[in-house]
Amino acid sequence: MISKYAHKASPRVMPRNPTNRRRRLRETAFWYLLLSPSLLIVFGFSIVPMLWSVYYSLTKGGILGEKTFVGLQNYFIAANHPIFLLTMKNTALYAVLTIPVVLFVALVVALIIQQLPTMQGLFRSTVYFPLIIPVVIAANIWAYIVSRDVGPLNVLLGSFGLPRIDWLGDPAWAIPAIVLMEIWRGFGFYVIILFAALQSIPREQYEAARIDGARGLRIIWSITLPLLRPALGFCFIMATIFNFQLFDPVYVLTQGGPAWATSTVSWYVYQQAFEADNLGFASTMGVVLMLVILILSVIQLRFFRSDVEY
Amino acid sequence: MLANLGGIKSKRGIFIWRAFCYLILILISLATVVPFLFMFSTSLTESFTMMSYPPTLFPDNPSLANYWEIVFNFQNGLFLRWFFNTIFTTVCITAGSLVLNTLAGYIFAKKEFYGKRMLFILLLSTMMVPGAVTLIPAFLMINKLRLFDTYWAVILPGLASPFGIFMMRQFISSLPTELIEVSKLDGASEFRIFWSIIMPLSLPGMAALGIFTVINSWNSFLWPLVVLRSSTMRTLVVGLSTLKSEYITDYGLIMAGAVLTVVPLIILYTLFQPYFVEGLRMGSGK
Repeated sequence: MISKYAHKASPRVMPRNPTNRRRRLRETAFWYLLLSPSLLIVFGFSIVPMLWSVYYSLTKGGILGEKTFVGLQNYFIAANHPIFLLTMKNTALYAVLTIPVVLFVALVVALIIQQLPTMQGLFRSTVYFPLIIPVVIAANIWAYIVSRDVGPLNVLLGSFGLPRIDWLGDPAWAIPAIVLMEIWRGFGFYVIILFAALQSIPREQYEAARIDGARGLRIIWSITLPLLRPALGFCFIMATIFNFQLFDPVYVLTQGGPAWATSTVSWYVYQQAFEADNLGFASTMGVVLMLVILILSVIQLRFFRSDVEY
Repeated sequence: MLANLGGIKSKRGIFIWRAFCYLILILISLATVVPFLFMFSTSLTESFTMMSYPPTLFPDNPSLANYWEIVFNFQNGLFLRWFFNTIFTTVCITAGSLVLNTLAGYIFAKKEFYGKRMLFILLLSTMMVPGAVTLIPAFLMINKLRLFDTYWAVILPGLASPFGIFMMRQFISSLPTELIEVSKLDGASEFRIFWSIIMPLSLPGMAALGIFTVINSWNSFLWPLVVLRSSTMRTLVVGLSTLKSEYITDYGLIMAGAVLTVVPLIILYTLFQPYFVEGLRMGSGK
């Protein structure tokens, strides 16, 4: 999303003529003045708090009261903190389990929708539907779907003769249960993006391939996928940013349990800040998470760089 | 359009292929929507047990008792108060952010000034800052400003967003610049140009952004949870999340509340669906 503006520099007009230059400066001041409310709000609730977090991460103390400066001590603690390292591992696991599946499902659904002569709009709005429902409500419904004794999912499994699973109570199954929910809830978003990208692929590309004798999966592999690369790149980056910040379903479904098994970094930050009143350490973990997301985004931007035009 | 993706030529082949596609999509649609029908059926079930077994989509004796209970009897109409809080904050955020985001989008789309490119990149990069690092200091800031537990605490951060500015910039970029220059020659002031030329022409984009903003603020959870304390200030989503733990364990009642929370969204989504999809497309930068 950023790269487009990074290399397409608007010509830097610096008028030589002093009168023009003064006028230009006056206009600049005017537009900044009009932008100031939006900029104050956006930066005031993103960059400013972020810088505060970096400062808090170097201190020790609770949300209220004295904070003592301790340097990088929190970072050294974090590097050896078993629960923090577990939440890091969990966060990565959620992302690794969710992203490939959700993007694959979305791609297949978008391709199938595109085959239809009618009702494309209806199916697109249906698959997006779970995303307009508050996560808290979706998660409560999901808690019912996967509940051990009465949940429809276990009833379904049972009708195939499979044993019941204590989805949210068993540490081994709790993460898959949340991943399933994220896939169910989230794939519609990527369907819309990928479908829009599919529509913008010119028909001639397909016709040319067909004249060359390509069929079916071969066309998808050598025409559709390469042309879809920018959109897939965008979806990949968005999915990474979303999934590395996973919080709401953990809060509603498991509160991080059983025994930290489902905790993500975001959840642990919240828990340490607001329940354990351990502001310094919570900020440290937040900063580390931010750096991880930043590094992953930069790598992905580089990987998709030559094509991504966002 | 791609019916002969598989090289199918006969009419019958195309028919079977399409029927197959419809079937798959109907199954997927059912899988996405059926879980919500359980919410609906549970809300119509009067029971003291947690959930019915075996799970049923059509309760035996459907009744609206849960709805009556949560709207009129629950804590002296607390639910209605939550409803009001949600509508009030959503309306304020949507109205305010439409004006601010459109104005900023217009300036970034059509005006030249020093530092514009850097500023825009900086603005977009704020989207990557995770909530985990902004939540606590933002909460402390709201405390310092003495806005804790007020509507302002919820409204203020929603009044402008990088996503909204980006979306409106994309939309306004496609409007002809000549229009602005002509009205300037006619002596229209900058304010007039924005108000009576840019705003009306941006209405489709604003509709898309508006519906987005409504859904986002209606559903916003973590921030209101943190900055609102008293039970009378809660929004619907925050209120619902506290229901289970604080007051009751009656699932029918909770689900009745959930249905009432999402019905306005579903109506809005159905009405504005074309704008919504268009907005997502614009927001993704296509």
